[in-house]
Amino acid sequence: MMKTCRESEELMSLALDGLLSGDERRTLDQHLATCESCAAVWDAMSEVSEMMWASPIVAPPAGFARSVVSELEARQQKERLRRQGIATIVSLVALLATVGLLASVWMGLWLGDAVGFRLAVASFFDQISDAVSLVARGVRVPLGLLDPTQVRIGVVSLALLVSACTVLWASVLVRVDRNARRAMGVRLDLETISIPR
Amino acid sequence: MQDEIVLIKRTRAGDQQAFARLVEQYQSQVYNLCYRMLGNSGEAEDAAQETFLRAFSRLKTYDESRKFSSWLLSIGSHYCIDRLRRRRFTWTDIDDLAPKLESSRSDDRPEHVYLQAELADEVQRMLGNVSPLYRTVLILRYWQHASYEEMGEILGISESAVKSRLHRARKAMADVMQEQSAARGQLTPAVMQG
Repeated sequence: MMKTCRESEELMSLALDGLLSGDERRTLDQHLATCESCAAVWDAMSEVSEMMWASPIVAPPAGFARSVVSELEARQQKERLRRQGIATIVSLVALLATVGLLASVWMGLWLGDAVGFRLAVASFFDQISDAVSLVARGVRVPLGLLDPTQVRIGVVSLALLVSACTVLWASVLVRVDRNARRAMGVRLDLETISIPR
Repeated sequence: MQDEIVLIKRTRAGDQQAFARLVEQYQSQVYNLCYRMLGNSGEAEDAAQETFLRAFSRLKTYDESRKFSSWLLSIGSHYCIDRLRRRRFTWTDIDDLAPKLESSRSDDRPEHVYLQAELADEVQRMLGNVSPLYRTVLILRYWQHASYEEMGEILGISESAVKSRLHRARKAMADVMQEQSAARGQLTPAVMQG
């Protein structure tokens, strides 16, 4: 049966790879003998196919394998430095958190009354909340209304809160980093590196 | 094959010497894919390097029942396609115009080398005029000698999709060649008169 031009075109590609059965090849040849435009397409496809088969492989530059291994080493070194940087930040945050904690305890002792300390903190946040709502309504709040002791307590409490959040954030960061490295499968034993010649 | 599995296992365990041997073994295939995809040696070197580094970092996900070269070429071809999508401008270095060719024949007479270089340039120009998806399938067929099944595995598509894409790619290349021939035919009389 005579093929349409579209069907014949689909057979051409398979013909170039030698994947047509005898019947399919005869059908294609019959169509090409009667259809000038398909014959032109077939000639062009055959020619370009021959050109690609004849076109040589392009060689990589000399020392390519060595440069890949060197780049791997450089990236692993960078990764190690990044991890050291994270470890330094975590240490500083831990130090800050400890100082904040000690300062808070000292502040509580200084006030002499733990219940009073908690009430003072609550009062400070109430005042802040009132001030924010007043500002939101466009009313000016004189700072002198705030009690200096309560301000000190509030500042230390805020420092403690920030420290706790930062420690939490840093621990999440370290966990994410560890998981990412596990997924990448990167090992850091750079001392074992050697490049075959 | 057995040696290759040993090298892969040693690389997984962190042996970079084994990794370097794998690079040496497959550098020609990967570099050639990248060169044909991207069209210049500078970018090809960069992309081939990135392909191997990605393979190193993802080696734990490699399924040993698959052909290693197919897995590697899959990483390389997807990377090159992404790179072409991101590419806005093309800078061509004068040194990039003459890549080092690896001839399958032992004929190294100057005229043969010249003709091979001419052919490589012409084919590369034509490849540059078809879409990256078509280019990939042509490179895998003509320079990597991949079967339809292997191409499907590398590209993550079915064999019938490979047949269809390869057909359209060949047709696109034929169209480019016909357009170039027509353009040369129109230019020639003007050049002769000039």
